[in-house]
Amino acid sequence: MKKLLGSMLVAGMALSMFTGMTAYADDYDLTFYCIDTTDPDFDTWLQTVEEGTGLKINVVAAPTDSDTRQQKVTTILSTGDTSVDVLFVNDEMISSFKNTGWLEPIQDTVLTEDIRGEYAQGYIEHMVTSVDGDIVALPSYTGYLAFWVNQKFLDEAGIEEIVTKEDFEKYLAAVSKDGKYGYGGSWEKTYVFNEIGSFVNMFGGDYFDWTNPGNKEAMQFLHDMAANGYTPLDQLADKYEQMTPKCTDETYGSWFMWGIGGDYKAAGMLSPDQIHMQMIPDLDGDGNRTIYTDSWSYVLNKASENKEAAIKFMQFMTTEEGMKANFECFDRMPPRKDLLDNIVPDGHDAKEMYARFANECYVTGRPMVPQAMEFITDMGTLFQSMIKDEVTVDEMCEKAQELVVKYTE
Amino acid sequence: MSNINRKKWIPWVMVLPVLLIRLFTTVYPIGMTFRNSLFSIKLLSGINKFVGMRNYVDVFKDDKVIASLTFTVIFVFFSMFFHIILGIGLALILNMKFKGRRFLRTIVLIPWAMPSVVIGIAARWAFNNDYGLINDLIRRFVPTFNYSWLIHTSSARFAVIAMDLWKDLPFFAILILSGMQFISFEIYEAARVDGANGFQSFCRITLPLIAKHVATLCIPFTIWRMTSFDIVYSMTSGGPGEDTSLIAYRISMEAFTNLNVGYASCLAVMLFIVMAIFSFLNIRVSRRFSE
Amino acid sequence: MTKYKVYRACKFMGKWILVLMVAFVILFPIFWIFISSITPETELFTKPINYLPLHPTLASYKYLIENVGLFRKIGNTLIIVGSTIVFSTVFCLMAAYGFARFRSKGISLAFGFIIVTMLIPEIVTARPLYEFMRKVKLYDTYLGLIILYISSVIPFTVLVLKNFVTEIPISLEEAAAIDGATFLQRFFMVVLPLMRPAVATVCIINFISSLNNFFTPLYYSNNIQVLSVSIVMIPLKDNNYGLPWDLISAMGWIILLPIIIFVAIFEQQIMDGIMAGGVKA
Repeated sequence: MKKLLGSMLVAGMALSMFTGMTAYADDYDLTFYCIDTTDPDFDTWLQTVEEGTGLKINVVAAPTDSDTRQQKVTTILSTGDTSVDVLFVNDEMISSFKNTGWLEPIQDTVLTEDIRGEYAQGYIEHMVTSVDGDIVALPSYTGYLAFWVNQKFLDEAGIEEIVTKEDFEKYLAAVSKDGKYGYGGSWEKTYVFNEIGSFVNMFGGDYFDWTNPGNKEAMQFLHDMAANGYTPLDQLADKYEQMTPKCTDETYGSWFMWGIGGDYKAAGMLSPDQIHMQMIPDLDGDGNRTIYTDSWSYVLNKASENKEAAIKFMQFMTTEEGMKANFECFDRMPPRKDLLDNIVPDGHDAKEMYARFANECYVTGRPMVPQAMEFITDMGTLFQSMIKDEVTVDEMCEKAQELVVKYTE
Repeated sequence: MSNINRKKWIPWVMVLPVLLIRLFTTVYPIGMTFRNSLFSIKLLSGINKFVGMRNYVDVFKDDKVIASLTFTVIFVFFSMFFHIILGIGLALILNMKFKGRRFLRTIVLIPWAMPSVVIGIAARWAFNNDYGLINDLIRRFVPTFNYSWLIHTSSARFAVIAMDLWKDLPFFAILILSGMQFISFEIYEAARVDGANGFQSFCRITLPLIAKHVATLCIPFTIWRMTSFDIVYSMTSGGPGEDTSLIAYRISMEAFTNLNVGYASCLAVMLFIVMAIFSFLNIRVSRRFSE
Repeated sequence: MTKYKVYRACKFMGKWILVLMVAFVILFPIFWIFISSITPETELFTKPINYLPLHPTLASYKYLIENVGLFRKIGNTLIIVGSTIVFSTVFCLMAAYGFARFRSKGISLAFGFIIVTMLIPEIVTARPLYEFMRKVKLYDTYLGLIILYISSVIPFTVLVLKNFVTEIPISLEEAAAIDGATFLQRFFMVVLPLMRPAVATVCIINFISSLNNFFTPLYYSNNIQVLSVSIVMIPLKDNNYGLPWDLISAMGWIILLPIIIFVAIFEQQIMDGIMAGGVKA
């Protein structure tokens, strides 16, 4: 026993020699906080970027889990921590941070007027511009919340494309039997707002104005879908991970989803005869189509001590070279519509649809407020009560309006 | 106390390293937490002003907090209740003499050793209607069984408590088991000679001798139940609605996601007071046991 | 006589049924997590569940080992967790003895303080502590992390060990004192050997909980990466939201493996301690 203790103490003392060691990033030009470090192509990406900018970049791996990441990022930015210069953040974070003054404005240095028009206007205006008119984030890619369908079911129902409300109802009725559902989604309380918003858009409503009749129609439609068995109640507990297998094993006939279908491709289901994207239906018939876009963006920490290097880095990300690296290494579609042709080869699964979305739809960011997660969660919980018939559709619209007022004041 | 240790400075030397480390890492943060609870600090709106007791008053009007408190009470009560009963039971099983005993003792720690994040996500899947473990097993007996556990309040709560027990019980049992090792075999032998059977020797010998140990263990374990949120976080995100949201989960949401630092500190202080009262009572009770 | 034999047989069977039930409840979900980690992504979720994967593959493990930088992380983890175990065990043993044998007002207060600090969830103290660590320049350092790790295991360890020390009758130490043993000799030769099962148990527990602690290294350092943090760094799926279960389950097992090995080794220590006999009444 004594011997064991003795040797442990010696080992401990040897280890304590390490205690002075730190991993300072002194000889780097820039510290970048990002979630892609575990991607197999990350090293290639980093090399391309370092060569293209001439900078030495220290990369700190960020958690991919959103709540964990939230804890760290909010602390870094709110305490004026200088250890990180550029961060890679998602929409929820940008909408929370944009008015706080923690992010350095980039409209004069990075997202200059000449290229600004090539990015999705709705997104730039609503998502990354602060209340003072400063642009504080640079989108790194374009993602759309597209409408996906299963061609096999369309053929069986004899429908070419779901455009009108009648088409959709016909499709729902035709598919929903024997354990299958015409529509499926993720109705977990922090995920469902994506769909609430998409349906509100399809009916010509306004997420921030629940007195709009389109909103009520949309909610009634969703409620009736669930009540008629066209969509399952189980999905109240589903996030995207639980939803995807139900798409690939053909339980669902249609749904909304981000991305370009990587999961469906892996399951061998992505093709014009099976699962594919479709243009957003026009359920209110007014000819206008709105689609949600999301992106992860680069933001510059206001407390950063390496702003010049950071701006150089971000400028590189607005060029064709930078976007190409993102596309080739991470499969992310470029955010600038003028460069779509140069970067994405023809025949790429999503190229055609993405070009159509950019040109035929009003592209906007999802409805977010500074207290982003609180608003999202409250809306989600309210929606869940409506679906479970704990409140009526009218009551939901009233309460939703109260929430909007509460969070946008 | 005996008088063999007369030098007054000995205890302080023994205790100092632990005390210093703990002081270093807790005095400032805990102090700041108490101070912050009297302020309204909303980082996202840039508010930072003194509001006195207003946070404390707001707590009682907050539905989400009340919902969390309700479930926290239910959770702590049921979980600890089963911890004690099943824990002692499991410890007895592990104490029995049989061939695979060492193997069982090793594997029993695995649920506790698995990272909570993995267990939480696994649990979310396990209770899923279509692809989950639980329903799959049930369907082997009742083929048309369909139930989505996590969308109904009572079954979701049941699932959370069950997962907590599954993960934590072995740990509790192993600690009770360690305590049992101090009971010498001779006492049991003597009792057997006197004609006592297994059940009687359990009630009259084992139980009283481990009672104090169990009572002591209840303090940290109950505290951990009250401050637990890992499982909820990955398994249900507090859902459906706020029905499986535990108070610690609520606090971390307020502190980090909503960035209402002042309010979160206030909730933490209130939780602290509750736990302090509880621990005090618990220590009293375990002191009574040792008499 | 035969009645007794039947009784014995039933008791034996009863024992085994219980044991098997316990083993099943514990192992079955673990088993599912394991087969998830060796199932290819597209075959993961089926109805009914395939308990034996159709095409087992080590692709998930391979991916993690290649892309998550495991070796550097394991190195850091060993340094930090190793130091934590060594120092915390030593310090807490000392403190447990101090708290158990001496009952002055100051000492009791100190003990109360240690317990009380357990009552605030670490989430809440994180922000102020973060600023504090930055101020004293211990942020993102090995020393800083080790101090935080040790601090987090102190309350529980001290509580458990103190309890064990009080079980050891003071008469043993008094007898040794009469024989002329000094304080140090009493501590090392009388008290410590009797504490073996407790120390071994506490070491295993602290090892496991330190290994699984991902909030501390995540929050209080940037560039020092440990194994547990990888759990929250698994790359997202194509839609940038989904968590790949095949990878997460594999990661869980990668973290679990050292624990199983560690426990298997130290199990021997506990058994030795018990075989050496409990405290003679």
